[in-house]
Amino acid sequence: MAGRAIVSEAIAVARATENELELLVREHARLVYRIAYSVSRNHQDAEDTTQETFLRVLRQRRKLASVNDSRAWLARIAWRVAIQRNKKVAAVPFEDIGEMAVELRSRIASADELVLGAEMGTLLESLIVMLPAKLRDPLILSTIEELSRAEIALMLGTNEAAVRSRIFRARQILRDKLAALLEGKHGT
Amino acid sequence: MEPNNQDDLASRLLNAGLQHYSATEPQPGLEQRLLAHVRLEQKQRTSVLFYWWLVPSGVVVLAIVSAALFVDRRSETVSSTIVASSQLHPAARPSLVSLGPTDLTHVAPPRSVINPRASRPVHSEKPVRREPRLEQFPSPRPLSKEEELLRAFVTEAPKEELVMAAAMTKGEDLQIKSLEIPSLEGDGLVARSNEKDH
Repeated sequence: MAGRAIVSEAIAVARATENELELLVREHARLVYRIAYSVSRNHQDAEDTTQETFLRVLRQRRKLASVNDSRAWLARIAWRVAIQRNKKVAAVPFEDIGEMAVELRSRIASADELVLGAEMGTLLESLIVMLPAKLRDPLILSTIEELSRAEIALMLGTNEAAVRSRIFRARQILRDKLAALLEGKHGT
Repeated sequence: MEPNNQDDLASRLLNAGLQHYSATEPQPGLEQRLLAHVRLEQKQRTSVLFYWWLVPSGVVVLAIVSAALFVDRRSETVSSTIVASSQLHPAARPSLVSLGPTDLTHVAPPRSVINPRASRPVHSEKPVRREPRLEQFPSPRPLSKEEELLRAFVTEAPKEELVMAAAMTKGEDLQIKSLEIPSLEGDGLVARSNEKDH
């Protein structure tokens, strides 16, 4: 009898969790996917990461009731899962970056307008990968429009001021490198 | 290009690049796929939970069955030991026969007979073959030599001798009265013998 009561209670809790989890999926699947994509830069990997994130939430469903900000909690899980799955980020050789910069510069020079195609995206990815992790992580998260600086600070376990400072420094480094590449001084 | 223009261009490129860096949309049907996956996982977890409840129940049932089998086997071993002891010691058989079926458990078999390692009893309880019951008991048999002589004596001997024999076998004293010989024809016979003498 006691066993049946425990099982029925567990099933009831599981159903309630299932409903809550469905609600989370419907509301935040896009955010989780974007976080995953910002790290993996691959649609298939991003979807796998999103699935794994929600499965982790299912496993930690007991915590779900005590979570105040489920959105930030979910974003933090998604970030951790994505980082774990993409520990080995393939670094692009600097010579390749130089070639991409030359091609991009020729386009800009001819059109005198920014043509943001695949080349610019690849070049930016390569430059971001070269940043130190301390600056790279807040910069990547800042590109996701749904996340505020406070939420990024919460996800990274730091304060908002530090996040702002790191994002500013990361952008400055990227701008300098990009300007150098456009000038043709990519060897320095 | 001039340096200021270069910096300006780099800033514009960077802003535009970062703006589009994570601005991507998931493939259509992502929510449905996620929900299906989550439901499947939930279902599996529920079934696993149910089976985890079954495990202790199964253990309890197994323990009960094992205990019942152990008790049954133990009682079987005791009864077979009693039967084996009665077969090995014929002197003990009459006492067992005189006891009722409930008293059998109270009979302590000799220690030397009990073999605790014997898990299975020896097939000692063979069914006793019952002979058909005869109408006459005891069964008729030819008379012995003594019995033949006795029968001849009984048929041929006079009644007085039989009475004496019966009395002797009973251990009673002989009565004079029974041995008294009746007189022959009364006093006339005595008178006649007196006349001849004279």
